[in-house]
Amino acid sequence: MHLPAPERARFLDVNRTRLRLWEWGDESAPAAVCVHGAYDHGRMWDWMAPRLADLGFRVVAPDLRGHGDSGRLGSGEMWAASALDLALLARELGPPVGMIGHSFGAGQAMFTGGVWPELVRWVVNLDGLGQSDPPEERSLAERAADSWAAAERVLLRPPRVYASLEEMVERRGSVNGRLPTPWVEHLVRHGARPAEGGFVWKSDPMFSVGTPGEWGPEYEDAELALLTRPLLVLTGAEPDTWSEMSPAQIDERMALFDNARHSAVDGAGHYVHIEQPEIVLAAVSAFITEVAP
Amino acid sequence: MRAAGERALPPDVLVLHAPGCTAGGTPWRQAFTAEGWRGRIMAPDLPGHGTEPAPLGGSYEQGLAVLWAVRLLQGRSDEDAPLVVVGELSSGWAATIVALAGRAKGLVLVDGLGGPWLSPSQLIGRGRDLLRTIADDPQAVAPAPPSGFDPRLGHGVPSHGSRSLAEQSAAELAVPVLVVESKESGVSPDQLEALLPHFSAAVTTVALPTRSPDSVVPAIAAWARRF
Repeated sequence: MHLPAPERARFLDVNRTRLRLWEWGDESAPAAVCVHGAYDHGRMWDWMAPRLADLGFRVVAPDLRGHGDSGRLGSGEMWAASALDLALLARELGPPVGMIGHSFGAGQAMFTGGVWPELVRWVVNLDGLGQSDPPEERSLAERAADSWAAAERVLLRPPRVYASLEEMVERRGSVNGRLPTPWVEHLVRHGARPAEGGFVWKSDPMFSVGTPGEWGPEYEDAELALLTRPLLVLTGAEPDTWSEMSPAQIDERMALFDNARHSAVDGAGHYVHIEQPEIVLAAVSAFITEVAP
Repeated sequence: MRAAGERALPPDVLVLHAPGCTAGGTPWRQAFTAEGWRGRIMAPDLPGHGTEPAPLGGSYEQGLAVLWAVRLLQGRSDEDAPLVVVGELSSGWAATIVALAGRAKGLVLVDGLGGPWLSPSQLIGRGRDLLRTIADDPQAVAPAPPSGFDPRLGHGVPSHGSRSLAEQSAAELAVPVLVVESKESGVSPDQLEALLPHFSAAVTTVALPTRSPDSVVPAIAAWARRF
């Protein structure tokens, strides 16, 4: 698989961090921001972004803070700070911008649009409505102990070093079994950096360290309900890692929005835009034509 | 291993000061020293306070204080003196996590129970308003100053506002707790009364006019001598 490199690459110092930005299309065109998911990076849009640019957009795909070539994290609680990064990026690009996000990045796009509706014109959510929210079975004390152990692992021990990129491909492929191998290789090639003895992931291990606190389904619903901008949600119809919501749960979430439409994409799992790119592109194009002609 | 009958070591203390307190841990270190605290005194300047630079990435979350505690307490074992952890205002939640994780033998919350209690939608709204305010303050999103007060902290780091979270943590804490409340507490006297029955471990409350370290530390010392 050969995907052309982005047309432009630069760094943006914003909100006390440095974001790596990958760009395509006419710089004077309206901006569309593509937001990757957890542990991924902006190069996951290498197929989709040039085609969105052909629709008449300046497409910008950042590496979120703690990911790719962007700045490191002070703690794992980066949700709000990362959304603030995206808001200030939107201001820099010229609001309102469109936002297309995958998984965690879809949540970021919706949250950014919810907090700053004046900065976001529309949102496309690719399999990122959240988890299926099983009741938390662990006690607060167990979660605190787990959090402490995770922090010790990250703070006091070196990151895992892989002997080769092939080993990382094998690891990533085992987690995301539906991803085509050429795509796994692409994501690994741009998501790893050399280190003594081999390679390490670019994504900051601190991202995995959280602390228990005030969160749960009621909070998640309240946060999602902030979004009033037009929303298109595309979910994979096939069972997959990180894609665990039932149709009924998806319907419940969709009921939180006044201005939203949803489609389940056959033949796709969590990486719906990678497994069925043409279908996703057509749906996104139709949505944009509808809400922002 | 200490032999039977040997006097227990005096407790060490770890203070996680309130975010936004420009002096950082210094007033706490001075107050515990003046009190004659016999154990080790750990009252670090948290990131962005006193002599410590702003955190990596420049934003302030409650978990930062937990990470600081992890760094400070690495290598401690059951052979060490017992640890009392103190959390002030929103750092009270970080101190609670230290205790819940089994890393302390006593917990002191100085206006640190959380509050005011808000509904989930109110808390999400509070977070939204805070983010919008920060985004509109050029100094708060500009690179952090290398020293001195960080303007980002001027917007505050709110305490958690979940009554159910406070009740759940009270029920699960397995160590003695000292609750020091001043007029600056986010919890009203009535709310405190309602929360106290949820504690499963021994809980002591002290009301003070202010939460200044000079006022609070003697109360901590008196409580620590008892347990």
